[in-house]
Amino acid sequence: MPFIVIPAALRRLMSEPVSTLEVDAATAREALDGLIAKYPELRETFLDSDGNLRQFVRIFIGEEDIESLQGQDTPVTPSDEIVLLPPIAGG
Amino acid sequence: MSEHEKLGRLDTKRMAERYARHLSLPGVGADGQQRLCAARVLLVGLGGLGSPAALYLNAAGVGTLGLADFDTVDESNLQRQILYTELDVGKSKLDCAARVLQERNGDTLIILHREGIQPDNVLDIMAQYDLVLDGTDNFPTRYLLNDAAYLAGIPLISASMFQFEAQVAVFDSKHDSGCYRCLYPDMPAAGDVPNCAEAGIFGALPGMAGAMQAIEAIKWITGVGEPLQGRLLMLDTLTHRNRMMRVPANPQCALCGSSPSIVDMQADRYAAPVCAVAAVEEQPESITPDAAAKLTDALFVDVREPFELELCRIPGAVHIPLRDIPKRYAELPVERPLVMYCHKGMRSAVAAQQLREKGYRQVYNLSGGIDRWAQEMEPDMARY
Repeated sequence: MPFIVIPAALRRLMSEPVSTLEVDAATAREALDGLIAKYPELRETFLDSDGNLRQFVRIFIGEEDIESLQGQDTPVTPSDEIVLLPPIAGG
Repeated sequence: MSEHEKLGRLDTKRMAERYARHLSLPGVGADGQQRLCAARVLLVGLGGLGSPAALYLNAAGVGTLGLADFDTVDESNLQRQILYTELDVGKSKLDCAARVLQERNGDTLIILHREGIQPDNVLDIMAQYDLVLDGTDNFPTRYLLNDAAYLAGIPLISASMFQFEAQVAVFDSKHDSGCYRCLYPDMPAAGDVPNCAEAGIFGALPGMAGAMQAIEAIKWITGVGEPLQGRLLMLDTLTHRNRMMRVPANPQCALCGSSPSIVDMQADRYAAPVCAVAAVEEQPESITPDAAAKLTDALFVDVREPFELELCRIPGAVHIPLRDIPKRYAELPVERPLVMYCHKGMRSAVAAQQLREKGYRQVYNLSGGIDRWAQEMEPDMARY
């Protein structure tokens, strides 16, 4: 199954933090849905009040931002690594 | 002509000896060292990232280093900010950094930007440099530097950290790279990102990330290797599973896209959101009259209206009404503790917050204002 890589800045929002999560998903959207279903506390981080994807956290499949692929419809394969990239500002 | 002789044409034998390990390095050599010696690099933020970046760029022979930071050294900085020692606590980071860097390389021209980086001066400052390193600790300044570097046409070498992780990237509009806004179009809202003070930071992590900024700067200056432009390196020190992400230019980007809406440096665009990353740190500290009176070298700042001063005042205080603070903050020294006060403490809390947002770090709000001061410190003072 593809798995999601969850950086520390997002882990701290989770009730039971994990750094990776396997998801049964064929698209980026399904992967995100799987993450939010398991961790509903992350919903507001990714989705606005209308359920649309916010631009706050970037979603990469491998090296590529899904926005430069097919957005949330970008297919994912079982070997794919889905990396979440939130902005961080510590210096 | 040997690499040493090439350098010698412009410089001294001493310089050739000093940079011998660069002169013998494939891809750098005398030409690269000459470029380093002629390079002008601006470092904004002299904290965890800026410390190693400044030390290595200075050691590498970068000819001109511009430094910008408002802060004074705090005891809690010493866990990772390797420019400073225990003796520096309470002192200006700029002064401490300049001393250390000059001692380590007397040939470097160190320029201190005590005025800080602001929307109204950033383009003039950047015009003096070839590239800029972002080592700041807050989103408003990160967006400000990104926009200004793009408008000034110089590369931005960015790094940021959270706990055990870092992101390092080179944003260079001249080389088909995305900018910070291509990646993160809007500044995070309050509460989206926790603050470093409460989240913590792995002490040696800025050593890695700041040194990587220095490496990217040296690569860019000398032309050696493949710069990180258009890519972002995500470092995870807990696993060392580091990842490289592509950051292409976004045609819709408000700054570098095909129809940009950001074409100048408007100050309100860089106002700190209520929280951003440093919310807890940014809350001005409240201080009791007794503690304020014992503060060494503190400057009391009265933000009341002129008529109120006629009723009572604290001797030695400077007077700047609240509404004038945004215009006159430059009159207030960043290196001294500031005790802000008004009648009861409400207006001065606002003023203290404004100064915090301007980068002042030793700002206190006098709890209960001059009214409480009168009761506890000067019983003969008139109250109203």
